[in-house]
Amino acid sequence: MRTTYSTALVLEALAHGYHYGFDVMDATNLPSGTVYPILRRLEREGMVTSQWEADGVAQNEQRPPRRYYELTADGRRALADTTDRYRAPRGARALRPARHSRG
Amino acid sequence: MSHRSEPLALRLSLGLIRAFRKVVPAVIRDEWVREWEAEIRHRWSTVNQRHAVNWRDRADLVRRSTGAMADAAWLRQQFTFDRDIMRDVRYALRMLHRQPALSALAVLVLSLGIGGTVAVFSVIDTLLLRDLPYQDANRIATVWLTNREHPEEREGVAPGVFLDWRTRSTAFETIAAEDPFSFDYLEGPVPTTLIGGLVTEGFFEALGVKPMLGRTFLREEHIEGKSSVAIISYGTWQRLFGGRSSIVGEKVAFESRTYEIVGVLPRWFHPDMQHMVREEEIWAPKVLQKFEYDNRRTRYWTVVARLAPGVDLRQARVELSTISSQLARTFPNTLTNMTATLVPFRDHLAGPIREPLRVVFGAVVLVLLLGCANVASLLLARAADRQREFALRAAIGASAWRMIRQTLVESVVLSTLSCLAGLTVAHAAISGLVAVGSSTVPQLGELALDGRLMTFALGASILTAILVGLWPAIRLSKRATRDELAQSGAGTTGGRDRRRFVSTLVVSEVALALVLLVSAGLLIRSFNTLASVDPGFSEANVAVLQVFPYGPRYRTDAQRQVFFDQALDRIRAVAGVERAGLVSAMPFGAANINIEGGFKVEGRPELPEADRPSAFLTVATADYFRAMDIQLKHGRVFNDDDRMNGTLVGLINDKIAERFWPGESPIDQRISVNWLGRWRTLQVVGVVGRLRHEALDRDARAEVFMPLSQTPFGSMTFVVRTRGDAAALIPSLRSRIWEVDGNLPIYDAATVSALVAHTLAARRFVTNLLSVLAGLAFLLATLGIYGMLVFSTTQRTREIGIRMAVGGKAGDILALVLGESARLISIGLVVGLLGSMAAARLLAALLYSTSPTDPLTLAATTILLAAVALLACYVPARRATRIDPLTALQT
Repeated sequence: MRTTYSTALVLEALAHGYHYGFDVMDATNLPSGTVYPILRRLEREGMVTSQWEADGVAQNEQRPPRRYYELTADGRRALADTTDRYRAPRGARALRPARHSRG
Repeated sequence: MSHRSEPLALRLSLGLIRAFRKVVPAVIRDEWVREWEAEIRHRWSTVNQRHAVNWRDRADLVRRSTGAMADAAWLRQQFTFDRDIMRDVRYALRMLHRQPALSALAVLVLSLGIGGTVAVFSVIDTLLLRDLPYQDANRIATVWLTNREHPEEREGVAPGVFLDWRTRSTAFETIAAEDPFSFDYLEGPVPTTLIGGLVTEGFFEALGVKPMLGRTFLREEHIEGKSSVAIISYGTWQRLFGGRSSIVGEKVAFESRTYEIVGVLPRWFHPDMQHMVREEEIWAPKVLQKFEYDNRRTRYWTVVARLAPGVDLRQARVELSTISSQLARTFPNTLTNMTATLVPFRDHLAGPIREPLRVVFGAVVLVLLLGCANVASLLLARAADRQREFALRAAIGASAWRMIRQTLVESVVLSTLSCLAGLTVAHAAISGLVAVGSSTVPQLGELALDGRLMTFALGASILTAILVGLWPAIRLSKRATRDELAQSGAGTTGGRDRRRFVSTLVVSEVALALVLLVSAGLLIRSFNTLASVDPGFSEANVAVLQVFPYGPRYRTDAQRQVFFDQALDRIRAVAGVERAGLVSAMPFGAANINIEGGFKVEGRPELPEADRPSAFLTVATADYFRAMDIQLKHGRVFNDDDRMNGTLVGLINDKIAERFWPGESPIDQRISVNWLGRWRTLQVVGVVGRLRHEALDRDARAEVFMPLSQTPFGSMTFVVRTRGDAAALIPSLRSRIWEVDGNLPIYDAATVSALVAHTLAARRFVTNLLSVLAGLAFLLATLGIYGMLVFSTTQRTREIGIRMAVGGKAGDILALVLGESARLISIGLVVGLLGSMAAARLLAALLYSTSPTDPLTLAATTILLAAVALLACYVPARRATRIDPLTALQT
């Protein structure tokens, strides 16, 4: 797989517990026009899986359910490879611990 | 979800999503909208909960929503690509399904090509490419003594010459020899002879093999009194000792002598040093005897060497050549013109199959190409149906690549199907090759369809797909984007490009088929010439059984003579036996006892040592000549008067007679021969026809025969002519011999026709294989030409219709179509003939007294192909004459 620096950041964010598109943007400082195509591609390639948030949680917060992204085993392997290549990525260093738990 | 009451920034963001949604492919559109809306709303509410929303938050939300356009565009592009590929695949499958017969034919053609290529590649891979299990195999070579004038005729090495090489050469880390030897094992159900070798120091090290059990020989075991140790092959271990691992250290009696088994060799070890009918099964250390140092004449050892590090084969050759020249000067009578030939071990193992293999591979590739041409034409015909579609699409902006892709996908689908079918073909072909080939080349037993071959098959199919698809694809798309829309669908004159393409295909099919036909024709002719070579005897209904009566029961010549007499008496008593005799050097025998000795004619001036003639010396009984139906040209064969104390007599063959007594009778002339180091004078009592010994393509030798009654000898072969099938009598012949001596192994029992056939096996194999391929090529080319002509006349329906409407007659049309075809076929034949000349250079080494430009073969195959190709054209041409001008012009 072609792993760009941006892809590495997205993987890193997912690994750090950022599971929603906008949260990944926050964590990586990448624009939505970059993050989403990366997520789509990772999902196509089996690095990432996605599913809809449970209805209960969303209803409690009075909003529609969000799409939840998660790394697969392949994704974690790819991340391990890329961390070697991009040592201490700038964005990753800035990552905060995840606040969002899985719905 | 959106309400008028919502803040502007939120409304704007949601509005953008709704605007972009049209870009997203319909099947995932709703999900896409849901995801984006959920994110936007979630963001809005969390920001709201945290603090009062400021302008930064609003701007950020709108900015993020704008990015949805990039997301939507990405999805659209991906989806389109997937959908198009899928549509192409579906379309391809539909096309295949719509014309099942044509599709099946295309798949069949390609699968034969791919399967054949894979099967032949598996042989090449096993024999020529794969790493050999022998350590550093590329440093191993076998060494043979050859005549500088006939380097291809490899002979064994005389012990003295091997010892000279070993002393003088520096190019080798190790050079070792094997002295052929046999071990009689009497403990089994029937006495058996194991083929074996006594090997000098470092033999196994030179070959780079470590025993799977036990060890190799120690240095001190090559000394008299310490050498009763043996190493056995894996096969022997399994067959005779049930594969028990306690075998190492056991003492095993081989007739009178007991050997301790010290090692078992791995299963893959088949050095096949002696290239005989049977392989070696057991080895013991060679203890060098004094006389062997001086024996430079008897060439029966086989030699293997391991190059020293940093020395290449060429350097070793140069060194051995220099040593050979020195030896030739020192020992002119035995070694003049003799040199050493090094054969890389890999080539040694591949043996007689090596050269033919290249030819067969070439042939298979040609068949594959021919298959490709056929399928390409099929695709072209199909694509022509879609020409208007292509043209339309080009006109409304479809890219050339888009159209190339569609045709390529079709050929990929086709070749994937063919690859699967091809693997089945390959599997069958490989089983066949193992069955037929492994008796000639032991290594062929290891052939199997493995991962490497699957990879090769896949590669071959991809290449095929490209070859088959790319050309028509590019030509089509070019034309489509250019001018096709201007023309009507069926084409007025068919388009120059397409006609050129059709012409090229016809020409190349004819050319390829001719190359294969000529090659097969030459091989068949060569094989027939060789098979009909008169070996000097009649091979039908003769059985041979070789024995070596030595050891404690046969201490004297008299004891042996008693055995031979009794055994012959019993054999002659078997119903169905006509004649039974004995001979030492049996032509085509499994273990040929070749004794070459000096030869002089009494009363003629002695020639200088270098020019002194030599002859092969053979011991025989009178019935040998009768059993083998050998022609007696003058005088008589042996009789009962030729007794030990009488005049020593001999027979010579006509080769000697013609050389020394041209035009006169040699009867009663006296000759001297050097029989095992001692000169003896013989009176010539008869002349017999010459015999071929090693192979039909080797010249007959100068041979002198001496009667067994005057020349006691042990290594003899019973030669038995039978009235019916000789093979059927072999079991009873064996048991008659065992009635006389139940402990005497019978080394080899076979029919003479089987022995002769064995020497032809490799050629027969190649000839048959190439004939099948040529037949296939012939069929493919005929079908291909027919298909092309049908296609191109269909394309020209309108044109022909016009011609007929303006008064063209059926005969004119026929002449027009046939004339054009004839022109193409002629060009193909010329190209094919040129190609055959080139191919013949590759073939030359395989041909026996057949010229690579044999006019008869060239003429016959050319005429055959031309006739059939024209016939294939005639059918569509006839059809063209029946075109109804009215219907033609309406289309």
